[in-house]
Amino acid sequence: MPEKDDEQSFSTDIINGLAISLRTAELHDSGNAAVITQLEKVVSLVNEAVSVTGTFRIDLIGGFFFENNARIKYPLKHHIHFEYLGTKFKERNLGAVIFREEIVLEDLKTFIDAFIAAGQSDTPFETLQDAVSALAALEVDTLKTGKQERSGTAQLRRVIKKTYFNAVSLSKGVMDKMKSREAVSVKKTRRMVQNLVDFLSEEEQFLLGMTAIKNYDEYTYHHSVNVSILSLALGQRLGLNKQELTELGIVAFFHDTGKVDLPSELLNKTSQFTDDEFAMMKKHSTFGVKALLNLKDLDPLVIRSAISAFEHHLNFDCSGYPRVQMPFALDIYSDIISVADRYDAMTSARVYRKKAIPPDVALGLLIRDRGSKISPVVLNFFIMMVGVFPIGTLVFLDSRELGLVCEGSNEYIDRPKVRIIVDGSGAKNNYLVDLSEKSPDGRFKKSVIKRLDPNQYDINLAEYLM
Amino acid sequence: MKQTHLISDFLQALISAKKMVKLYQKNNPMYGKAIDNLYAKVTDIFQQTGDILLQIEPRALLSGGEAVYSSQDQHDNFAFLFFKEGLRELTFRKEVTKEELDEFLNIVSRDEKELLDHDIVSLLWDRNFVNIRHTVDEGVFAEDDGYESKAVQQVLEQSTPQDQIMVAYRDALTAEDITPIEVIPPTESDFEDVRIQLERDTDIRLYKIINIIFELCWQAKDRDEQQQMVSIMNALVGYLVNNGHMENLLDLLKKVRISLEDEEIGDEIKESLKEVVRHAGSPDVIKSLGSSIDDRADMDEETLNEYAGYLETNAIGSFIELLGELKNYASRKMVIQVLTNIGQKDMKALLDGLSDRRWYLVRNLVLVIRQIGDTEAAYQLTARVRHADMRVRTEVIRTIGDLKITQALSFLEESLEAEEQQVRVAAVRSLGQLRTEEAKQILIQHIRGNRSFISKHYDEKKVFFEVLSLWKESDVADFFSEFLKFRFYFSRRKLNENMACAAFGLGRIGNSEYLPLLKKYERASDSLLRENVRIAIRSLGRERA
Repeated sequence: MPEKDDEQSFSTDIINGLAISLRTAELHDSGNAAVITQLEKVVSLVNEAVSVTGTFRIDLIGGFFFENNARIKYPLKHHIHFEYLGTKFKERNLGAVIFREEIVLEDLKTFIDAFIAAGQSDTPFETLQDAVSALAALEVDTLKTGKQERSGTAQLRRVIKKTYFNAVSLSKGVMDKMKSREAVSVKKTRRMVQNLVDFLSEEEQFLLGMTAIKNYDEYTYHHSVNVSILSLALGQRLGLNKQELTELGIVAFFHDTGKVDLPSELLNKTSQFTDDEFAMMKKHSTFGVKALLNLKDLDPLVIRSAISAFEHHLNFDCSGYPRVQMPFALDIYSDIISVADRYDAMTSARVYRKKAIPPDVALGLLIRDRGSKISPVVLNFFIMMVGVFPIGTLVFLDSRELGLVCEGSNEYIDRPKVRIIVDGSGAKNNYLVDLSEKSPDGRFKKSVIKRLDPNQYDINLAEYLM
Repeated sequence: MKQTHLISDFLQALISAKKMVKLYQKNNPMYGKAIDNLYAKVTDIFQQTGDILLQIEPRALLSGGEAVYSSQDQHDNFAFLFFKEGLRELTFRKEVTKEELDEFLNIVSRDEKELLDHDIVSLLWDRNFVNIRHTVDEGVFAEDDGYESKAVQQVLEQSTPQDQIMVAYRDALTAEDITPIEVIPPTESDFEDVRIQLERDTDIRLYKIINIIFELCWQAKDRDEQQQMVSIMNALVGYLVNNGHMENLLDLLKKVRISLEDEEIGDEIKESLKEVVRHAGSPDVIKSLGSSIDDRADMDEETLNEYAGYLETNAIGSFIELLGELKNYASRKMVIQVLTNIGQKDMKALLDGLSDRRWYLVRNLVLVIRQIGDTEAAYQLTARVRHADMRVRTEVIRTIGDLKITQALSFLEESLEAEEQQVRVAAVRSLGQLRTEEAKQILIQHIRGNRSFISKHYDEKKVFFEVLSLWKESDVADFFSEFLKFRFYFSRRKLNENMACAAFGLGRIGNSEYLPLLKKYERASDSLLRENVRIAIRSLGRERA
């Protein structure tokens, strides 16, 4: 084996080489000069590995690559190749490539051709296995996984989850910097929001599900991200274009930045606020304006953010706070953020309110204020988005099953997907039902007939949504 | 040719075009030519390579694992430019259009300052090219603080009490059935309303932020808070000026003025607001205004004057500075008008500007003083303007005359001796504008007592007679008639010029008593004399009629 600073960089090179060969071969074909050059490198690397370890195998387990049972670590710059190859392995239900002995270029070429062809097959792994079965030096093994979801979706969801938590970390970083009056990079926030916009078009319900998990310690930071996601989803329903959505997402992300100027003892107070404390709390809207306008050089984004920071607790009828001498119509971003903010705040447990309001009850409270405190048009779109039974609602079905709503339906606002936790026989269970499914006679198979407060029973939504 | 060589050629063409794009404005023919050349070249290359997929490494671009570009340069490195922003792959499809290449180059040519809150990736995302695709590693910007695993572990630790699930189930059996909630599906008109509101909010966001800032200003409890608001308002003033939002700027200043006149608003707030006004008139802000004025794209004279009308006297010095910087005649004219309007609030500031070394600025300031019509300041010009430039001195002399500064008689008299004819002529005309006996005598004495007068250029001499004729007095007419009777020993031509001027002057005075004298020269052999005599006779004839 050639001398390497890090033994594992050798495996990294093989993974990279395979990923690059595949990508190039997908564009051209395996006989292309560029592909051949790359394959020759991989052959050389594999053969050297085989010469040292005998059989050399690469496994994909739980989204990670392993070399002879040791997890292959890699620098960030190779992340894209690893992600790519991992996805392609999963799509083909391929869990391992095993090199029993030294290979020749033709072996690897056969493997690459078979790998690409398997992508078009209904039984990809079998197609691949058949094609390489004649090779003595190389064999493949199936993916060891119990997951029922499509691997592509699972992969995407993992990335979304990662992005969500990165966004929360970013929120913390931004607020810390604002507190210490350091310069804040809007660039990172923009990139984060652009990602969320992309994910919304593919996995809106999963992203909304991420906002429904509320029992984190860091409420303030999760709240900024949740309001941004809920606003984006709502904005998308309202027909905003990509650029407007990006702007809205950033504005929503910054809506509560005024809180950095509030005393932490006030933010963490566990009992009800006194009048003075509440008056101070209300100041975060105006603090936000000042903080944002001092954040950096003024530009349309900062100005829009400051407007919504000021307006997000003003009601549709211009009541609320801060009191203004000259009433004005709220910015539509503020209308959107206001709904997202109220919903997320109500459905979250707070230091001064240990139990959150159940999502369906929170929705009912928003509906109560439709037209007075809340823009009726925006709220109507919001209801269409979260559905009559928003994610996290504990529901009882006419099939006598008890479950948690885990995904809304784009087709029927009252027919979400439900994660059943107690089945019709009264036994604990864990499976998914889709309430939009119909019987052959055209009637819906199951419907919600009752709702309960999941917080009353300390049901941890994260266990069922993550 | 080998595939990698072709791709290298493609990249070189791209890099060369990038340099041109950075160098020239979009409307420059060189820019268009660079894009045309690039498109022609890449079309040719794409025919041989098909789509091009580039893997991006810190110092190199790879195609099929082979380096097609590499550079160790720290600053001008095409690979690192992409890599540092998290770009890991770029694919150019062979159907790429000229417009796409143009816009792509436009994105990658921007420097940090031009990118503002964007980066290459966010711009590529915004633009969403059909034939140029990119892949990004978002991990580059991730806050790698291990928060995900910590947070997930924390929420999952709070596991649901299993017995509670069964309690919930039992409760569900006896719970009340749901009551339906009212769902109002959005309509087409709701979408339309949202679109209208979006457009409206974009249009009025500046009005709104101004209102919000004023709300905060009125609510400010102490000096510190007011100072904070002053600093925000000042920043907003700068933003509005830099971006040509003059309408909003006027709105802001109008609100300031209303607040300053509002008796219910405290003095402290008023003091703060005055700071904003002073800032709006500061050299920095007025200088920023300059580019808008110079290209006149988003500035009209009325707006500029309205703006200036809200400012305090500190703006005068700022506008003087700007006047010295402006490139276009039309924009200088606008600022001259502004200074004419606001300059009288502080004439000293205008007079101080006269010490500037730039002749054109001083001349324009003299013009401003003339337009204001301040005679005291105008008189001071005689002492304060030391500029040697003829155009400046001429302007001062004109001002003295226009404003009839009789105290400046000796200044004008001295100016009759100036080296430049233009200055002397201006002095003559200004003396004429004074129309005093002293001024008349100065002119007569200058002609009579100055032996060299006869040798002056005909045009200059004629101005003397023309101006003197304004008095229309008999002593002037007698003085003129002497020239028609006078015999001279020198040049006949010079003598005829003087006679012609005198005849012309007599005609303008309009005293028909001199008609016979003039008629003597009606058929003079000198054409200049003959012509002027005839003009004078016709003029006297009209007078008599």
